[in-house]
Amino acid sequence: MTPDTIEALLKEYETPDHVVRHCNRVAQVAVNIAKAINAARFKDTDADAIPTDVEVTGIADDFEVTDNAGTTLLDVDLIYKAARLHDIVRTRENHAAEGAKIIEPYDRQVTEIIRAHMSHDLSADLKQITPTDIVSLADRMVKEDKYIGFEERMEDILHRFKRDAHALEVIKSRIDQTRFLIEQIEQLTGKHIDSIALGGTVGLDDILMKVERPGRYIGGEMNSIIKDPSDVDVRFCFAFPDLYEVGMSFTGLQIIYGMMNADNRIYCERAFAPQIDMEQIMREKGIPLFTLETHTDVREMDIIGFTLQFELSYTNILLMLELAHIPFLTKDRDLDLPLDDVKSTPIIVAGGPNAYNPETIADMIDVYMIGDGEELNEYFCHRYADAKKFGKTKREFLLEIALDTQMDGMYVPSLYEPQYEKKTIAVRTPVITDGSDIVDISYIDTEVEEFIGFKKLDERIPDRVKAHRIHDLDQAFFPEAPIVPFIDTIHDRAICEIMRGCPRGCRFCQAGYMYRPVRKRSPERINEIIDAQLANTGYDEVSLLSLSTGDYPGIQSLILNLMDKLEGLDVSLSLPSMRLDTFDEEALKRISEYRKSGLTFAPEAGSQRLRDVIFKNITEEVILKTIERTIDLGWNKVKCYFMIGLPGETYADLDAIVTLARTIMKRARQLQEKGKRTFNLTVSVSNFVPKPNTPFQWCAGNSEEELIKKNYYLKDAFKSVKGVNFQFHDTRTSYAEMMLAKGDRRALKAIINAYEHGAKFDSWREHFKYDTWVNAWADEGLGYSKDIYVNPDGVLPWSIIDTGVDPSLLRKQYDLAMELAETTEITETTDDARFEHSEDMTTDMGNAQTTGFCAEGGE
Amino acid sequence: MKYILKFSKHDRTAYISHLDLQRLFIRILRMVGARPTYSNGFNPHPRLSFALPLPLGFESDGEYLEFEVDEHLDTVVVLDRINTRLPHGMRALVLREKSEAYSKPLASYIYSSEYSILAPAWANVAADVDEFAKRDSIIIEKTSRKTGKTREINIAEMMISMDVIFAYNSQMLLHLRVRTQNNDSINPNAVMSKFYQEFGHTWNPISAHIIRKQIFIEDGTNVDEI
Repeated sequence: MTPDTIEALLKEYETPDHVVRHCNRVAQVAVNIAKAINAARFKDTDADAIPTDVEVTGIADDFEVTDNAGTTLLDVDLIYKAARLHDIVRTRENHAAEGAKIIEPYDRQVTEIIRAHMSHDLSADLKQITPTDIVSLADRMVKEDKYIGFEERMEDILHRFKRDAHALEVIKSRIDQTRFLIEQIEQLTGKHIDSIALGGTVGLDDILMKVERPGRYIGGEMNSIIKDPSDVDVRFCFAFPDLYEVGMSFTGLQIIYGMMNADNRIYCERAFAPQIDMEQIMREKGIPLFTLETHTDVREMDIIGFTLQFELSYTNILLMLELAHIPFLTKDRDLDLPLDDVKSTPIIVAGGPNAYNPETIADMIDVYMIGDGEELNEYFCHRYADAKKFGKTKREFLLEIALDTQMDGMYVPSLYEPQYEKKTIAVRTPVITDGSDIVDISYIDTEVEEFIGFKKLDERIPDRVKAHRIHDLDQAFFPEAPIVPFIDTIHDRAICEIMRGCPRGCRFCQAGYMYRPVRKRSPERINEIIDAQLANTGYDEVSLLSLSTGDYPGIQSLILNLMDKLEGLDVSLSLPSMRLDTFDEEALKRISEYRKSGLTFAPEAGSQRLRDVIFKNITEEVILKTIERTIDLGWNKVKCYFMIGLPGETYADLDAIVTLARTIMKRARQLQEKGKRTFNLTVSVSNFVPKPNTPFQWCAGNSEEELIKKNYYLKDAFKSVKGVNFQFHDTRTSYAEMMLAKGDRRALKAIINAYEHGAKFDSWREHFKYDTWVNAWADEGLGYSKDIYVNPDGVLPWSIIDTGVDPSLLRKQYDLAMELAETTEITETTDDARFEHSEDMTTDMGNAQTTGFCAEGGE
Repeated sequence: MKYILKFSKHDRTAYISHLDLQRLFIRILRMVGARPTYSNGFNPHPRLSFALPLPLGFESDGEYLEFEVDEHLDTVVVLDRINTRLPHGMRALVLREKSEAYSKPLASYIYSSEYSILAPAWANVAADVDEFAKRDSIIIEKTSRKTGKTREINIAEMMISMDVIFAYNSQMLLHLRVRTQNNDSINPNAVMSKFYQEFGHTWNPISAHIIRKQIFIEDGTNVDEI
């Protein structure tokens, strides 16, 4: 009997999905127990433990075990097969006998186990344990598709038969047998039965050899946390909707993981999207999405928390939910079951930058965690634990959360019903005459169905949800013993966040507007964290994390002191997001000795006019001076980032990118003549995508055609610039990102449609399916385009979130930008009004230089 | 100063690849105050190597890591500290100074390995194993990963011994000793696959449990004793 036969039989007899899942779970538990017993016995057979006079016997004809040398080994494969099929016809009367009849022609041993599983008396002696014992035992610990342990399951059964005295007597005697056997198993293996049973998802050991990079799925990395799940009130799964190596490079994961696990009421585990090869095998074998820590089905978690780092990961959330057998939409997730009911699905929460426009996928998220995740997630878990203890239903709990006044940042979308209205609006459309720099703005009347506001389903819930803010980074949790992955990940080093928020105010930048006010961590605390991380990880590289490291007050002394310390430890320091103009010569020299591989600058736009539009306040002279200085100091690789498709952009602005690159190369060559080595300039161009909660939220991004034309215009122009490597970003993914970034609740239909037609891992160019997305929007008849929500007087769906930035400020910044955008004349940059809104940020950042720009240490 | 660390690698840690294991040990040694000496040159790397790479997915009762440090180590203390840092499933067993009699890297002395294999069996399997182990010529085809070319090799020359320890209840426990030199080694799966095929069965590595038990040098001495 092969695995295919099992699948075919389950299909043929139309075993309902929930029964199949029950069988899968019993199979997992049974295999885990059998393997643990075998492993313990296998060890016994090691070297000296094997009696020299062991009789080498032929195979026993009968599968029943005879008590022989005391080294019986259980047939794991048989146990697996029998467990997978034991309830094949559970819906029929006498299902054990009926099931046995069906299996008889295929496998006699499996048949006997199925026949016996309802009425089996367990062996009294572990030495005589049989496969039937194991399957029956596992069946007595699993209810539906959840492992609940023997005692709880028995309580449940006793309750069910409480009126039947005879049945009770039989059950009670079986309970004693079972307890006795469990005790023996625990003695033999030295492990608690729960930890044996939960030891792993079925067949994971069998499939790990078949997948690429199995290290992604094994867990158990240095500093990962092992807790006994029965010791905690809440099991939380941090779910990252991308591959392990992407998720493990994300500092937010380490913060939440460490913080939650420091709380002894919570066990936080991790789950990632499986690579496509693994996903296929999981589907074939019926293996659900599992946590890395205990290899538990994520459905057994109380709460699953997704982090929303980029829009193109939304389909992966669907993938993960599907693999976990969890319905996509909140409304389909049994809202009226008590939280402690075994059939209750986990609460699905989400946080991270994209939660600032929660509407796009609002229908599948039970609760959003908006803002800084510290304190917030832990608080939510405590509230959950209390609600569960009092037997509240999910619906009751969600309302309780929406009404909570103790903690900011918890948004329950199902309690807000969006209202739409058909209207005709004038869409601001820039008209660009080919190849020239003339811009015309026209207003085209377009009929759209626009969001006009929410209807609250309970009048007591707040009109807007305020993002949660922590005020003191020194008091906030930061991991001192981060998980160190076995496999190579994208960022494999010690990381300390030194500052949250950015004192600049680039109008396109979502991070700059989201993480306000700017908060810094003290140098003392930074040093403490780095010392602890190095001691706990063995890393040989440290990186300082912030949106704009150069704006950290006292950055020079922080870095120099760190360098002094780290040099002695053979640890290198990498400095992303650096501005060189805050350093004096001596410091620069030291930094350059440290790192010569490459530097990255982000002028963002080629012309001064456009840099003014986006509020990227830096002059060409400063750009050139800075680059000169880096060349002087020995850097010979520079990468410059630009964006195209910015509001008010003309081809003259594109030409300015080329001119700037040409000038940089010219200066570089002059310096080269003084004996410098070769110089490489990479110009990387990305497509501007308007983001919610920025002054550019009302902008419509360029159409695909415009973007393609501009990218190729630049590509052609750069052909004549020697020594420059020109790169541009895939237009099609940018377009999909635009549609999702400003999505309202209707967007999810298209996302599900795209997913059902094969879209996943959309941010991976090799997986992105453009046509699928185009069709998805069309199929759902959303009459929806990237040009929605362009009316600055309209209501925005994401205004449900109060980010802490006054909407009138965004409007003012938008108006200023539009005024500049419509002027094609290049004006002198002045310093006034640069930081007119700096009161929104902390005043200790007031000394930030206004001539700097984001420049990041290269890879 | 050169040291040898003997360690075991069980359970899920079988899926930590060779390169990842190397990186793990570098980090652990740094953490426990046994930072390996770095090579000189443009791209310095820590002086640390394994006696014999363990194929991905295999468990082992005894692997050997050899490394060089600048200062003398308190082996008892360092061994303890290594154990507090190793993942569940791995244990550091012995840490000792490398004998000066063996000046070359350990890898160059390795000759053979013994595997303990728990696998499905059939009636009279012991006799079949005996017969198989006595053959002079057992030819299998091996495809080179690099060139894609297939050549015939005689695995009888690579096999040193194959014994059934017990066969019981449709399972058997085998001890298989094969040559595992740097350029001349055979994977026990290849031997088992051929054995099963010869006797009308199909080898499925997934239904077996293979553990590397011991590693030997050419004269049959266990690495522990050198």
